Amino acid sequence: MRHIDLFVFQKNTDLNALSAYEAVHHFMNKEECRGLRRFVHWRLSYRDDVDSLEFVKTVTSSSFYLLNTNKEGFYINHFPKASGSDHVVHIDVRNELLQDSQELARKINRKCDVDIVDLKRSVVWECRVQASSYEEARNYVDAHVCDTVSHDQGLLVNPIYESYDFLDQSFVSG
Amino acid sequence: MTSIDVAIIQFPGSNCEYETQECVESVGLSSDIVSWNSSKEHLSTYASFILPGGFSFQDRVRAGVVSSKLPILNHLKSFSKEGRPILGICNGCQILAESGLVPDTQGSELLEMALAPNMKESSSFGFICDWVYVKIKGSGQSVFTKRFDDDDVLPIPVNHGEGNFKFKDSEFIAKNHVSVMHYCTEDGDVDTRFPVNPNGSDLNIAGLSNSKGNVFAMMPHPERASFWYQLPRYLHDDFSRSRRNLSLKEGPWIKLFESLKDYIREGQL
Repeated sequence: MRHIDLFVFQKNTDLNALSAYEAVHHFMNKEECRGLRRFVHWRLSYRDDVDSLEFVKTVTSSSFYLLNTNKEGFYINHFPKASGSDHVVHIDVRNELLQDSQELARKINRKCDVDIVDLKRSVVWECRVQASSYEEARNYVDAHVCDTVSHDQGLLVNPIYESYDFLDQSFVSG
Repeated sequence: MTSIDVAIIQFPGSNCEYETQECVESVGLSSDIVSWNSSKEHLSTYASFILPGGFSFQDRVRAGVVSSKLPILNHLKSFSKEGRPILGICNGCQILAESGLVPDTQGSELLEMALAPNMKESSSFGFICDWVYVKIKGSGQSVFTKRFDDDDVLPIPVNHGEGNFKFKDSEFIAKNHVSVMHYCTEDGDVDTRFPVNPNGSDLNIAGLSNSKGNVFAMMPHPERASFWYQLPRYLHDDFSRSRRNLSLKEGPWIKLFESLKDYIREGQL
């Protein structure tokens, strides 16, 4: 069994990320937050005997189920290392009500002649933070940007029906 | 000192402000459509506020969350503390939920509920646009529902993709809350199954007030069922029957705006 973490991003301006950043930086005055990007995260397990890139090419060349290559790009398993002095934190947000993507997996298997056994969807926010260390950046995001608690505290996660984890730094290449 | 009865707040992406104003003015209340970036001084001249339906900020991140971070929500919180009425319809309901203004059971304005994506039997099904029935429990305890009876079964349209009420403590809401609107059948039974409950909401909730009764958030659209000609002929309730035989004089939801008028004119619940 092989596994892929597929991170899908908008090639053009991502308005979700733009508005989230406006709200965090300007309306909530979290000025240490210096940038936000948004990725749809597909975690796949499959039985086919091909490598990750080959598998993603097979699925994306014959369907738009996981991404639309006309307007979306992707990273496989790792994000590229960001340039600059800010620290980058990745937050993986899951909707606890919508865990089951097996119906979608069945559609992809039928359409693309592949064998996906498990498929999960979440949203990853890449938050660029002005901080002296990665731990400080992560603690800042955890306390001020993740769980929505009040008007000026938290935005990316609604804790009533969503949960989140920080992605390990091993997801960043280089 | 307030001089105008109602401010209808226009967010970037609101699209129900004009029909809401039509309802407000049809009961004799004065109103303005007011921009989301108005100053607190300007807003303080209004006796009450309505956050209309629409798709503010294109529902980015989650419906209503970006608007809930705007400075105007801080102003509305201070007006709410003074007891001024605030109504959120559909997207306005989502904004009030994300801001903590409803249900606000502890008076702390912390997040206590969410409007999650619509669900049908544990799977998501996207947007819904349909007529449903609701009844209101504790109608006498909210500014906006005082003219209704708890036995009224009222037809009303819903139009949303994220209207699934989820609560931090739904048992507390079930036992203690002041005024709660429930989805029901045309006979008034609170049936939890789809399509009576059109989005999977906890306790079949379609709307509710804060603990003081001056803020009300509802997902269905009362401004689309306030005049007789807005009701469809094909429903099976008494209102639609009257519509078919041409005896209906007004829509079922004009009472919501009349209740607001009572409060503004008399100044008490």
